[in-house]
Amino acid sequence: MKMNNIFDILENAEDDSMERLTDKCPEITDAQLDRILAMSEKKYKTRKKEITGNKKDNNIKMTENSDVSGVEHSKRPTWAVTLRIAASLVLVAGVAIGSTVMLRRNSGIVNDGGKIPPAATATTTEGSGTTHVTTNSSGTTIKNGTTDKNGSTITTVVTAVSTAKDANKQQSGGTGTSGGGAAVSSESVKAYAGKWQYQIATNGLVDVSSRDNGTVIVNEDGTYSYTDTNGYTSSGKVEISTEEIGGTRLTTVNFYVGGVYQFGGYYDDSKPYEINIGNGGTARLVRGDDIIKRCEYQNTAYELVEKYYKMMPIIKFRFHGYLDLNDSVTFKIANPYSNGQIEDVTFARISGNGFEFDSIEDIMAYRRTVYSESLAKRELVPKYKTIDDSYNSGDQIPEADPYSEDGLYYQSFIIYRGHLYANTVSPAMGWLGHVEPREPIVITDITSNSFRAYYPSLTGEFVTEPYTGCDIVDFVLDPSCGEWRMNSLTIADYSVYQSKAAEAKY
Amino acid sequence: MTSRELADMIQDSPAKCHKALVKEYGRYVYAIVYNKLRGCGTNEDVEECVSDVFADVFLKCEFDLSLDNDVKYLIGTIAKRKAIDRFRSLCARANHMTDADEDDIHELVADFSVDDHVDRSELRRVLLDKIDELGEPDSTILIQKFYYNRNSNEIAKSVSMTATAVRARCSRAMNKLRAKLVEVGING
Repeated sequence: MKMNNIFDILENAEDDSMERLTDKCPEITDAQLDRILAMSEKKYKTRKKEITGNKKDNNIKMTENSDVSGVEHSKRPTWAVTLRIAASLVLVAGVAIGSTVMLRRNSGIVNDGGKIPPAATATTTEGSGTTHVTTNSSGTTIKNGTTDKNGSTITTVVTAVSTAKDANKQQSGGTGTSGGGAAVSSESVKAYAGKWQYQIATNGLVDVSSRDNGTVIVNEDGTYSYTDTNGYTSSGKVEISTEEIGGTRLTTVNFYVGGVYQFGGYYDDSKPYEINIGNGGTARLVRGDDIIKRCEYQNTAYELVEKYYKMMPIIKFRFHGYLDLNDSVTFKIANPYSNGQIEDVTFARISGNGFEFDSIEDIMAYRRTVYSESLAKRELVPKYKTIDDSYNSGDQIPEADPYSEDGLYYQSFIIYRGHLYANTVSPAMGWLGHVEPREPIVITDITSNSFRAYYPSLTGEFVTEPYTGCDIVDFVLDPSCGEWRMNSLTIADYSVYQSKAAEAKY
Repeated sequence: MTSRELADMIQDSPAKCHKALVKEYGRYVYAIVYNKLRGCGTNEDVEECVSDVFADVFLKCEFDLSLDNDVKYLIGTIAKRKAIDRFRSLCARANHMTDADEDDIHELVADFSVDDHVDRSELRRVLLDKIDELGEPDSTILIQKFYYNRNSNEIAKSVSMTATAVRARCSRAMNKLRAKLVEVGING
């Protein structure tokens, strides 16, 4: 999330502020000074030459009637003429030689009775020592062995899981099929039966920070169904095969719909909880209630914490950008920043982009989409003041002490004639900044209705900077709505996150 | 340094004089240029503009130097003008600016708001006051990190601390600053 930097306000500073900024300006390194000096000298010499050149060039005269007369001297080095002649000769010779070579190239065509030779020929050979074996559902093994150019043998053994109808066909015809149709029970597929979560990497490589891409349910009969995050479901057949590359045996699990390959990946016995999709580690299927739950909770924590950081500046800085200045009221009130001078202060209604807020309760209700009921109660209610309905827009509102916290100028919101208005005048600057996590959110302390998230955090908007803090966020399943909500947020040093991340085993 | 001192130095050795100028006023010019170009230019743009400023200063010294004045003000004025020129040029490049039609002129005229300017100016002073109240080295760390966009290692060198200590102080100083701004009603 990128937000305005409070320090942007320091740009275009006046002289006095500029002095203060200059005092804190970092020292310029010697290398930088040398670079600047070299550039300055170069520019200085060029400009000096122009100035002195113009002064010396007295050949061109300009009269009062703007008539220009005279000859501009152009000095070209004498060797340039020789160079140009040589370059021209090389060019002409090149064209002549090239044309001759091209013409002679096609002169050797032999008339072979009108037969046109093929554009390309292909020769298929079977490598020595290779065996093709495949096992079909009836137990016949068909092996496909290939020797690659490096000499490594790649052997693919396909265990085809097919329909009873297909199986009969295979038995009678003796041929294996690949993809399509419902499947019969297969021992090899049973090992993969169950619920898997499809994850896609957000930071290059798939890990615990990856985003949910849907759920895959593999059935013992070799069929599967995949439901994506939009709720769309597709179903088809699973095929298990093994590949041996350079002596390493890999199991591949592929998913087909109507014979068309959808996705698939490698299964490693040492990591029984995942199937890596693709070669680059950019996606995977994971299983196991514990790890799936952690992944789900990571998504929940990510969404709510990001919404919290987005919500904070919106509420604190009075819905900047959502204020309807066509629906506003203006009162004359004392400005405590200008020694109580009376000024026009405009308050505007909040509308647009789903922020139709007409009361403090509306704002609190919006907060409750992120906060639990108890946290919402603990959080302060935004500052507001009710204005007497007898005042009209344009009136001056006298205050006993405009400098106090209750001063109207300090109020973020006012309630006037039954509507909520936000202050548009008193200082409102950008949020201090927050960067969404680049490292996995660590989930701990899982119970049936709560969990804790360690969220790497960084104040500022510099995504390349190392993290400086850790947000420890407790979530609860809020009984009032049956959804997860933030119950508390405490800030700790980044070292806390590091130790929790080191403990986390996935 | 006065103009007279500068003129004497130029007579002695122009190259030496140029080097002395860059060394003496390099940081000052950099700060002014950076202030104008921070939002639209890269570090290379800033350095390019700083070198433009000094090239102009060198010419000024050679061809048109009125004596007895403090050179700092002259350099400051040149730096400001050059930075504004460069700012316009960078913005024009970024926006692919074309000639404005007469119909558009009124929009250009209405672009500057005196009220906004005064508000920002006041806000700037309040912010700098609050940063100063944090004391050293926190104020320098915050300004160098968030305004000059220096990383923790670079800041560590200038405040003679370790990068880790800078990060820790920075985080705490930011929280303190936030609280101070809240006290003066800047967060609403």
